[in-house]
Amino acid sequence: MTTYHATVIPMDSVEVFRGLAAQMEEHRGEFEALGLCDLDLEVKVGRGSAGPLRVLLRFRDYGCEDVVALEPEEQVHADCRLEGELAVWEEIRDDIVANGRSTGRLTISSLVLLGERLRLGGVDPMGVDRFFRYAETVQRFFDGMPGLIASAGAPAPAGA
Amino acid sequence: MTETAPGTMSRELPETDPMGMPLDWEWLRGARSEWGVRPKPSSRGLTMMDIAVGSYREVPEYPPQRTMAPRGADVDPDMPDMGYIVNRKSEVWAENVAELYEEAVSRQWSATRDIPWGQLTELPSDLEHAVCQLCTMLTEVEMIATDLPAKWMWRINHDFLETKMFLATQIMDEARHAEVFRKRALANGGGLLKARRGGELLLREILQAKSFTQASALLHLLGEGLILDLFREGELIAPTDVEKRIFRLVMQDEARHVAFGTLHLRYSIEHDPDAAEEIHEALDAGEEVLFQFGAQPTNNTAMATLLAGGVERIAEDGFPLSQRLSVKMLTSYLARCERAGLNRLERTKIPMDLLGIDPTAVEVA
Repeated sequence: MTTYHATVIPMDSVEVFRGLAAQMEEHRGEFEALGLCDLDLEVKVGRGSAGPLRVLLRFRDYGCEDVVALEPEEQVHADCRLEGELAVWEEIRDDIVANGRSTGRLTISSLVLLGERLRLGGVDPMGVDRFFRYAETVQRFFDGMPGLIASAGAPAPAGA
Repeated sequence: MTETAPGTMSRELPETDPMGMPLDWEWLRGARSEWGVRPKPSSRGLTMMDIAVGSYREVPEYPPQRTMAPRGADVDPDMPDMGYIVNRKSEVWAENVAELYEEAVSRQWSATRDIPWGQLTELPSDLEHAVCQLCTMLTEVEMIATDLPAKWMWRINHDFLETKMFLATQIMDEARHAEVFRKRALANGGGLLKARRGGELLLREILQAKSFTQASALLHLLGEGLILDLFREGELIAPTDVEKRIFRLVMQDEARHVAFGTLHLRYSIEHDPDAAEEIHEALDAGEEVLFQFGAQPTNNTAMATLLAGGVERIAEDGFPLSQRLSVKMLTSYLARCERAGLNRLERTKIPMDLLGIDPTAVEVA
């Protein structure tokens, strides 16, 4: 299962994040119920010697209006940054795909609280706190991964 | 009388009603206040930021009157005095307050509807007791953040409407927090457990603050800042999806309150040379009481039990992780103080050496 999902949802690809943004738009009603979101979030996926994938997610109102692929050294303004190696992002993905949502200590909030494998940082504590103002929206954004599988024409995973 | 308001046709208007009582057409003739503004709705609808146009966006440093009349209206000069005692903008303002109000309204949720109560499952006795103890403490402390804004709201000049509106959302948020933790304590066959003296001492310290700015420092920055991190821990240790959802939703509300407090204190410090010392004094006292509260074993053992997944591994896993998270919590608090323009590193009553808090981590947090 994981191998197939790794093909459909390669976490070191900007297309995954574009797909999640499309999922968010497709399920706009659910995100409207959560309330407006105004957050610039950088996601950094470590890839060893290949250099990290850096993506800027611009959440506005009830959707992710822009997904920008960043150059490795590009300076960008973001409220905060989520950073972890590819392995932890894959573990997050596999948990979501298996259960239909993040569970246990693999939620984004839990992982960044422990701060060992996934780190939340930023230059401004107010920007970092902004992540927590929209924690449910951000989590639901990532929880949209089963929808990527369905979009690819594969059967919906258990729990989705 | 001839009506002459801009954009309307001139016509004769009666000066008395059919009973012979005099009529007032001043509102139609055009007041001294601004007429003809046309704020444009944003993609979200018509927000408070959208209507902050022209003279309506101006918030006076010292309101000319103490009335409930809307800021920007044509106000009679002899209005009754409402007795407000907070009449200086720097005492209550934050640059992000309208944005936070809109966010608060948009992100309301229901403790009845939005928590999947039906998914609660039976927990081992020690975990259920620990959840219930945590919820008992949180039900107790959350209501301070309802009582305190309520205590100050009627004392705040009505020209600072946006702040009062935001505080009204906070009152609702915190009522919901008390509701959701009380519900969780009771919902899974447990109940409310121990309420200790130490918690009440901290709450009294906050409630008795002498000014709104001191109250905000104690409540928003110190109290809610730490509770925000406690909610983050709650999300980590949540035994089921029910608690996960609860803690993520309360976390969002709490972060909003902290954001208001941080920028209110910053505004206050930037506009009032005496504010920083006033805030320091409040935090000197607050941190001492907080440390006593934080050191009390009742809630610490409950939290460590949840962190360890049960009492069996509390010594090996629970207490060390609890200690590590406490350091992160206090580091975040000190970093927010810096962001508010308040250097607490030289003055804090938190025993940084004892707890192993790295000052350089505060500066870069």
